[in-house]
Amino acid sequence: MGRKTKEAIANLERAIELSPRFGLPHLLLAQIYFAHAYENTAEADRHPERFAELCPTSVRALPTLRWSKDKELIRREAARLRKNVEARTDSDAVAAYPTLWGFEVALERSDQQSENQARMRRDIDRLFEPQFARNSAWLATIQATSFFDGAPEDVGRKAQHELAVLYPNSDAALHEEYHQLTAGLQYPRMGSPEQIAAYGRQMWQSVLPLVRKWPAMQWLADRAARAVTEDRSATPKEVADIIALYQNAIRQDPDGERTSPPEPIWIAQMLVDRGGPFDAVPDLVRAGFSETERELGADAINDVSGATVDALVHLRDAWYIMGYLPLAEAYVRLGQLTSADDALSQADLRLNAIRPAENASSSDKARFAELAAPYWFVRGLYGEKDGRKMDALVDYRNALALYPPRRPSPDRRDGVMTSAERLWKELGGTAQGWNDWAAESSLAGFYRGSGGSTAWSKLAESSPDLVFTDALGNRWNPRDLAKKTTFVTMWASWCGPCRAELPYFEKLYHHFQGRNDIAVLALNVDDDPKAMTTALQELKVSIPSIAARNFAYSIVPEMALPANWIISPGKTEMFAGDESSHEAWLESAVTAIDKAAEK
Amino acid sequence: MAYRQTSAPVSEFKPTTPKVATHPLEQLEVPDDAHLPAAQRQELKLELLRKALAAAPADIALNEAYQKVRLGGMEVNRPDLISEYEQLLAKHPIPVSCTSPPKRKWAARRRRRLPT
Repeated sequence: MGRKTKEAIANLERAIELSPRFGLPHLLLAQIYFAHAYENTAEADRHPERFAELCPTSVRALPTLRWSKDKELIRREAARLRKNVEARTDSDAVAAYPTLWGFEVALERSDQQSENQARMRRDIDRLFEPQFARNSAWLATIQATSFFDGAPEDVGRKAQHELAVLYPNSDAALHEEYHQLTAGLQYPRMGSPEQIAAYGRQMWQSVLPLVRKWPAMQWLADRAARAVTEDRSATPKEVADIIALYQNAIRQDPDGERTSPPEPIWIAQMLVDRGGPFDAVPDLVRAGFSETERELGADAINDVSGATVDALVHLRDAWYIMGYLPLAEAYVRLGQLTSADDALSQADLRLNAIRPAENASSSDKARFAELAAPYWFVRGLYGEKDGRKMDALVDYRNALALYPPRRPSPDRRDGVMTSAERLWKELGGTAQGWNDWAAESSLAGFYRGSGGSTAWSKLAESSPDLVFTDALGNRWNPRDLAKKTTFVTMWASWCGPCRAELPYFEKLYHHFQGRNDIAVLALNVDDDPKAMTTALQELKVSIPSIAARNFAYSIVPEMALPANWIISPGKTEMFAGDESSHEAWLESAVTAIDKAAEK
Repeated sequence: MAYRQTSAPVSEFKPTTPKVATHPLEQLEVPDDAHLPAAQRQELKLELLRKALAAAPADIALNEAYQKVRLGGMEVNRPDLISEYEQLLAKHPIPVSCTSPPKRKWAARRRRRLPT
């Protein structure tokens, strides 16, 4: 399996022919047929059943079976697995619990999980009994409980502590120390630059002794590196020292932190964003490219694990572009213009390779724009440094026209706008000319997401006749909504966490039904409106959902999924709520909406 | 529901001697030394598995564990691993099943091949 999946299918079928009583090929075939690239529902359901017949006492099962539409099959597999894991205490059995819990959860709506939760708590109690060896499989299983509603709080920390005491040189011991040193430090989301810098400083100063003590752990050095790049008050020497430790950790633990794009590329971009020092950027980008090749290089393209070969090649190009951009900018800042030009040419080639077709989905176009906009920005920086101010202005304007709606992670679009305006003035442009350009340019993506508290009124102004009808038949007018407190959830049919939240959203809707001052709305952002209807039918929820792909992101300040917003006439706030469980989330949503409506 | 076991504060845990794992697959789950470089940690695991496989070459679970460690989650390692197994398969085609332990068949096959 891997790059030769068709061959693997043939081999597995041959193995079944040779040894009809051999169960494992059935499990592996099911795994392939469940994968996106080889999707075959009938085969994907048939093979786990055959495996269960041949190996009835096995504790193995296909975790992705939880997404099957055949609920009876999931039920049978859950029953088989439960019977088998409860009879054993070895690590294989322990490791099977999260799969089992996943199956059991999949059988009920997210708001009807009380029996499953009680069963899982009994399992956890049992797993803490002395007959279970404290080891990596055990810890992973206990920690996996955090993915399920209803697990006792801090049970993962307790398991980690046990392992840390037994194995003081283990990763668990390191995590234990890390948590002790960073307790109370919380990233100031939506915080001011000063708050973020203060957080960064506290963070890297807390973590630094650990990085020196455990030099072979990339994830740990990465925490320090990220924090020091966020600390704008850190001296160039402080930054350089920590980046050197991070580079040492990459050498000792090259695959220790798997991110998209590879973490060294992120760190390179963060260094560039903070304004240097730039010397380390080329080495970091090289480390990122090396990881890209190991993970997605020509020899490493995998045609089965959740993506087609084309998608993986596309991803590889995107990672390269994300590396070439900080590299080019670092070279510009260091005055090495020839190298900057080379890096930009490489980025340009890769951008052309992944340019979406005219009929591509809106999300594909937005993903491309996220890469193309900074490319034009760096090209502008290069042009300016090269003394070609007019060219640079054109490049900056290209960037501004390409920016897609904002995401929660900050980008540099406001800086690009400032640079473009500055250059315009330097070249003798006037405010009148600038406004003329802005009025006729396509800056929709750049400004989209700046909706805020007047979002509904703005929408009413720009589309006076707009009236939308939700899935329940209610008709909504933006002008009326502007006078209410609106709770808005953004969702898509393919978004798992969104789907799990919808039964609770339904309860929230019923709670406020009849209140004239409050509206509870679900804005669906699927490209195909039929996907919304199908998902609502599958989930058996009746909610006021609107196919809102075309305007959803002009209502809220950021593009994110799943995301909830409370828009009141005076204020727009993202609502995160209590994430410890869906019940807690519901309760916190009711409180927050009531509070917003009182103001 | 009663929740004695898991609601105990973290500090109440009394350390005991870790259980000694004897089966190679259990040994594999013993946390490794996080001070060591990743390559060294991986090599220690492979050494353990190679020894175990020498004693039980047709054990499916051991082979799967070996493949997992050898891949290390990196697809780039797959072609070498595939060719390693293709060579192995050419030498020893082995019929196996869940219900009949493959070890005995393998041993019998090997015995037949011993030079006289």
